[in-house]
Amino acid sequence: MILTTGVACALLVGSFLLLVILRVPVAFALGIATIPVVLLDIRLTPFIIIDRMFQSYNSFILLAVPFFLLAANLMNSGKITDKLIDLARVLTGWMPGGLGHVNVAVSMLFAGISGSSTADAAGCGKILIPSMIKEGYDTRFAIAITACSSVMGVIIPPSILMIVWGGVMQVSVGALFLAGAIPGLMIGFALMATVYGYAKVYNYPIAMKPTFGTAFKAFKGAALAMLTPVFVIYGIVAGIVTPTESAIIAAFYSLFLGMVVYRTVTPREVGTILYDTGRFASISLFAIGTASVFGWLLAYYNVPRLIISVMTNMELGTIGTSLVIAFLFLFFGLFIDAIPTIIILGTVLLPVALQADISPIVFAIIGIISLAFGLVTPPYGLCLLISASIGGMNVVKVLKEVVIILIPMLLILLLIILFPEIALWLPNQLMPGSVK
Amino acid sequence: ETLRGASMFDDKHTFTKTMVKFADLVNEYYDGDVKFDLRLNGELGVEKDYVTFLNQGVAIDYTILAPSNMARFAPSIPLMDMPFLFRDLDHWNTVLSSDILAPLEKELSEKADIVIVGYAGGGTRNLLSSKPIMNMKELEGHKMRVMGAPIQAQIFDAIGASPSAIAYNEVYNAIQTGVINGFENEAASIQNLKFYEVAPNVTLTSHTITVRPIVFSGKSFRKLPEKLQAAIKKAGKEAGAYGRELESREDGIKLKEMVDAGQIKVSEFEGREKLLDMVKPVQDKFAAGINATELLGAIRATK
Amino acid sequence: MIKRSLEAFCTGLRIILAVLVGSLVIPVAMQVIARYTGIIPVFLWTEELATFIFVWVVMIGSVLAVWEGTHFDVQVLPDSPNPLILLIQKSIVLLLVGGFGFLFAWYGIEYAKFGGIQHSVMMNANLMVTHITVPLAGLFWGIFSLFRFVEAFQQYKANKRAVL
Ligand code: NA
Ligand code: NA
Repeated sequence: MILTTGVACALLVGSFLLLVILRVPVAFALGIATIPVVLLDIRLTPFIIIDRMFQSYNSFILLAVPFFLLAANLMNSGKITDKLIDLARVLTGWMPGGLGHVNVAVSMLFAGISGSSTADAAGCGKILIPSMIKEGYDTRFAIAITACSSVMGVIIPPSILMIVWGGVMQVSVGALFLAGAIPGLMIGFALMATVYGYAKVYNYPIAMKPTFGTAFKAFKGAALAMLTPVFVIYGIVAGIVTPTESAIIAAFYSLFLGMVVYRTVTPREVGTILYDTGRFASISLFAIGTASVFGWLLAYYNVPRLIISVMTNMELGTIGTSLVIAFLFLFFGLFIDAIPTIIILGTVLLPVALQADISPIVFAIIGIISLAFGLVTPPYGLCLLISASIGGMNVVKVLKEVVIILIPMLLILLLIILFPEIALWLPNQLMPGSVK
Repeated sequence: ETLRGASMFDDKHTFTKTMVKFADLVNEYYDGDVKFDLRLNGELGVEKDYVTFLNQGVAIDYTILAPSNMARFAPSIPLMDMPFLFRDLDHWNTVLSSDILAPLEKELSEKADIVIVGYAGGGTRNLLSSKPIMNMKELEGHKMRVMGAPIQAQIFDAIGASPSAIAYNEVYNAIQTGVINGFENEAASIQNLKFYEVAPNVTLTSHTITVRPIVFSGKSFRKLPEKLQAAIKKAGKEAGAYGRELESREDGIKLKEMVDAGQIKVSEFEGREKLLDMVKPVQDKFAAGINATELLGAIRATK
Repeated sequence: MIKRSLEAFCTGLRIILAVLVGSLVIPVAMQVIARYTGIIPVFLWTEELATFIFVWVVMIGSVLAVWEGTHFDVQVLPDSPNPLILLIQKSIVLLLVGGFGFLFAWYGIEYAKFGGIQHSVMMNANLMVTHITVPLAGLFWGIFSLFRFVEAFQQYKANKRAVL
């Protein structure tokens, strides 16, 4: 038989949700959920499912994922993360709720070096969550703040998501990098304000009062690591490498720091790091495959077309459309990974955005920030899952904290929608040619 | 009977218009009941995916494809739009209206189970660069991105350029930042994907006049009643001619639109005839490698 | 005995995975070097080779994650205190994943053959080289899930309680 849009959509989404509730791993749930539809509809075959999945790996841009992850893992094992934490302590540890601020600040530093949020949640979380618990912070708060602050990894440049977005939708990656900087910092400050509020309510302690000596040592220790973004962004802006290739600069530089400068990484450890990178990268890349199949089937049954026609009919204007776009990305981010969402939803919404006079760069930033928030929203929020497993707690138990911390972040997103200049200002100043 | 088609583009694109025309013509030539469901905007994937669908007889029944996408199955197919194959539009049109390409059609049908029912195309590919490339000297060592088939790289290498490996969706950024200085494409793509923003200099090398076969899945085709098959073949030929006329006309219009809008600067290439001589050995070698020396000779001999 | 040989097999996979991730860097680095130095000619197959390795990395990684149980799942409902219900719930998950794996392996054979009739444009490699990962990955998702299912069942019988 031939399924209608409604039946197919209900079958797909329904079986997916059922499978997730049964605790089938999300990557497999996305794949298994397509089976009923494929069996029922005579036009589809398992072959097509396999092909859709397989072909989604056939993209050069996706190489940025393992490379940036490799760089971040090298930094985590090379104690570079520790040096960033030392710097963050000196910078923010003296405030009430010290370790909470350190957690946010180190994510900002880490974000400036790495293109990946998950590596931040894993690397910094492993150190900071236990020490926060030890100093009397509520475990739920420690997990939630680690997860929420890690989302800056893909908002503050460099960013894997921006590389993929720029490649898929023909936007200058350099301009996206610049456009993400100010919103990313604003989210960081909003998070610190939240931490301050928590510290006042729950009487959380300060972490340390820096002396001139400790401060100098911390800056010196982190200085070389902080050069990474200079290399990566310079490499792209100066036209030495393409954005995807820039990821290997980050990886090589981290390797150089770990093996030659700090001598904290032995050749044997490199093997372990390569394995860890491969394992973790492939877990999320595998999900990109099954999510692509799922998205392809939704498209096959005309679901995106329906969304567009509804949206264009509503004639929402610039701000209204931006809000709906943000909502759609946030909603998709609940269930699937950011990269397949960019490929499935981003391309569908681009014409809608252009029609509503939203600049492609602002559209990208709204999309990427919304998707970044998806990293901490269950059922499928990788950063939250990682932090929760470090803290040894069920995701459901930290939901309330996550919501509280997310609210100020959502307000920043709203500000960017209302005043797109926040995102556009920096690229306008530095790369006026690429903002049109 | 419902026949499903796919286009990577919107309803204004010539491929889409050609496929709509194809559907109209089939309906005209066939007495029975046949419906068409054409999916636009790359909803079902990109051209490379369509090849798989057609080969398997799933998801779609017909589309229009760039030959390079089928090279994985039939290595001789890229001959169809090898650079400097056609002298000019007349030559191109005469070849496509004849049966000269039948050997390629046969190979495609055997190896990929894809039936060619007509030939659209008509975009003229030119060099596109951030700095002007107007003569042999400026072409020497010009870092440019070429399409992913060895023959493309060999040809541009033979005329002195320095071909580079860059994924298509990184081209815009790569030119903007100067990783490469240009690539080659047709007016429609330059306009749609706004490549003029980073590479505003168009050099009229006219090295390729595109050939875009209208293709049908062999598996679906065999299932259709004979009368419908005949109608499809007839409609395919005519829709192809319609598409060629439309696209070659629009190609010129689009180029002019971009010139008028000040988006591109167009210049001639000094000594284009010399390029034709330089690429001949490469073309001959390629044809020999795919047992198509005779075919290449026949195309060249066509007046 | 079976467990030990499967574990040994996975150790082999882990080493291969590490080597592949390491070698992934090479073609991309060559691409950059070739463009700037001219020491080595511009290789147009770098992108192709990188994607080939990439596919193997993803598929091997997905197999290992099934063995280790590290594919991310989401707990929506709290765990039941009844070990039998837990066993049932866990069995359903493992059988679904396992079944999906065997299905994938079965249709993957056709897909590998489909790769066999194609050749990559740059290196002229038979595409079975990459497409074969589909039935292989499916097969091992299936075998590993089935093994974990039997294991959970035996543990339940031995201890009268499920091990999570
Ligand atoms: Na970042
Ligand atoms: Na999510």
